[in-house]
Amino acid sequence: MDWNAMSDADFRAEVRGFVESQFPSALRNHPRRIPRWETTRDWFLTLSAKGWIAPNWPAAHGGMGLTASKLIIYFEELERWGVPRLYDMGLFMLGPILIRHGTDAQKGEYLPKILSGEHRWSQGYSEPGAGSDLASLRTSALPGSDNAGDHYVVNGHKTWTTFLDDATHMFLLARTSKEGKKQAGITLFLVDLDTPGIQRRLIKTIAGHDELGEVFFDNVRVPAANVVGPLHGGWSAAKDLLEFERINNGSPKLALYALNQLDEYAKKKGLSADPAFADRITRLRLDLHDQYCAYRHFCGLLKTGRTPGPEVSMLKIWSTETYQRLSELFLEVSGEEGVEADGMDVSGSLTALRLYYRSRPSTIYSGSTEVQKNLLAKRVLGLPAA
Amino acid sequence: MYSLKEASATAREPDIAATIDAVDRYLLAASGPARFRQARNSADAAVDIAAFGGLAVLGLAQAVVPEAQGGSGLPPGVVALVAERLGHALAREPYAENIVLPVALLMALPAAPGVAALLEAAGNGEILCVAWQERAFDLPAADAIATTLTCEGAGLRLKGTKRFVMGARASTRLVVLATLEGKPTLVCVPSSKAQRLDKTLADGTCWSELEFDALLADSDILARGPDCLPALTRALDLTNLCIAGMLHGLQSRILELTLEYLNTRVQFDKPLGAFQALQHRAVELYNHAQITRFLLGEAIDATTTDVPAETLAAYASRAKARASDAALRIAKEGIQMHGGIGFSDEYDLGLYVKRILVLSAWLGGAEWHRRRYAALETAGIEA
Repeated sequence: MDWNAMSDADFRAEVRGFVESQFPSALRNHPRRIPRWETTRDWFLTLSAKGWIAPNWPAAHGGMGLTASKLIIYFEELERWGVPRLYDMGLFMLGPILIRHGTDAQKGEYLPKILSGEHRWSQGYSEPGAGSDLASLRTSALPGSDNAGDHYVVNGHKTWTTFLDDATHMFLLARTSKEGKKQAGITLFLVDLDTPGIQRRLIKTIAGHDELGEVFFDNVRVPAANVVGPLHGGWSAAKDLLEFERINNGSPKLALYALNQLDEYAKKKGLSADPAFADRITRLRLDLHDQYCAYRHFCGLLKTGRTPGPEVSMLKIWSTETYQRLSELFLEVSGEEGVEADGMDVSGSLTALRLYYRSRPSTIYSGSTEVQKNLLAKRVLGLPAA
Repeated sequence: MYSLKEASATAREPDIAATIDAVDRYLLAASGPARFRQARNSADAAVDIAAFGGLAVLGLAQAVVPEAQGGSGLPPGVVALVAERLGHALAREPYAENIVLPVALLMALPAAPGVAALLEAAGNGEILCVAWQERAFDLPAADAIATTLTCEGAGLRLKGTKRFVMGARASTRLVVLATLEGKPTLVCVPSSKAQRLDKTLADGTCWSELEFDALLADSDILARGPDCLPALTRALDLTNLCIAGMLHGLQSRILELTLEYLNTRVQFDKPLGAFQALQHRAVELYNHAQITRFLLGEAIDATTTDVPAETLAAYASRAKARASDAALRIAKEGIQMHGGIGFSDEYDLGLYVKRILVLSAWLGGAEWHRRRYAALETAGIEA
């Protein structure tokens, strides 16, 4: 099916019809930023069976192969209906990188299992001593060989890992060399989290959810076939991944969800008649709508096989800040009822408070706003090193 | 870094790229800032006429006129591409006021001999201007027109006052909005029949207040009735898209000047640009310029010859709101990051800032255009 050949209106109607008829209504506007796998599994499998689970992947690999404009419509319809975030790390992060850098064997092994939900991926980047300064990471992977074949032995500690509670796998960056620049000795590995020597611990967030975690690696054996891209060349693959990630994190979907919630609340409360409120929400609406254009531009580059480059950082900065401003406006206009810890607002949607919490990490994860600005300043604007 | 070529498929089409290249070559020879400075506050219409001459040579008046009407038939969105180059070079050329607005209005009117003749005159280099506004910018509305046409003998008497008429000083003929028996009517009037009071603007250009008390002939009527206001609205939307393009060019140039300055000015033994606080502020400006650029690219590509009025309206208002917001932000930050020199008249930065101030206000500021976009969106029209 060539979805891109459909008119936007037909495609929208198609997605809307499917989501409205198939999405379990009990899960709409779910209170958790990312519900557990058992909660959303059936919906994941429904999308998977329909061939709609990977809207961004090329059709040849089992995706929908959507253009950026169609992808925005797809997201719009899901956000409009309050569909929660799925276990999508494999879909939006690892999948695109394997499609680009993976061996045929890796593609054959992993891509179908991402689509089927059999493998649920988490990301192992940050460490206690390597947050914004990611290249300082110390988790090590040393080569070894035995009867079972060539492998690496991983030791170290990863943290701030999302999706850890129900993840089966992790793609992780580990140091394979201490020679040269600190960026030069890093390799990207695919790790089965059932491998002996791995321990997980969940971390509770300020929203009260155990959605983050840390992972300890104690002499964990990883087959050499699980190296993605060149040995010691993981930094560029990782940066590539970060670029996908920044496009994904720069997608308008989170801010769109917040805007929909706020719109609905404003309608119920009659806020739209207040010109001061109308002005503020229109500004934010335009910040979001104008960002669509930038998003389409960068997605368009990807579709034609070009790497977007460091410029893409602006997308993440803009969309996450818009998301947060929307949540802050929501909290401001909700007054007292906004801060009731477990209340649902009049429309039965999420409270402003939850949206406030939910939007916080977006300016921190996958390269904080400040790191993105450092990158843009040096690599795009050509300003001197600080 | 800020080129629209990357953001707009229209800009990459060979005949359009050639047009833009020709504009760039002309501008290279024209030395924008020096000329702009020299002509500042001049009370002499000759400076406007001379500046217009360059545009006429480039054939820009015919560029977006359909081939059937003797033009080159480029899509109307091209005006923002041309304007972007003019803005970047700080060209004084009266493109929006003496070409885009009058030509777009004539193109949008129903076919009539008077309209065709005027369009041809524009193509031949005559300087036309539209006088429609009587108060602070709002969409043209029948009940906001105090200028009247009344029958007098075999002719018509035009009476009333038009304000904020950009480009009137150099013009030879005006298209004036009035009412005739309560119906909106557009008439063609020799500029010499208006009593003109020029008002110098912040950037040293001028607009005029025009007072009419003139006897016209029936044949001077270009259009009458319900076609007039929608045609004018469409022309104003295209002009605002054009202004947005110009603002993008101006803000890009300020950003370039500012980055250059941050890289070269040394304080506390290092370039200013090495301070993280300033780096992050510069990035904020870059982000605003980029959002403007990608929005403009899409707006330009959507502005085809047959773009529906509501789509053009939504894109034009979005583009004007975004471009003027971004330009004003970049302008004031540009001054601040330059320090004292940024506030001095001898340095060119101020010329760009003032141009931005004027263009942001003309034909509706960001606030007005955001409100209009919200209203269009409520009505279910999206761009």
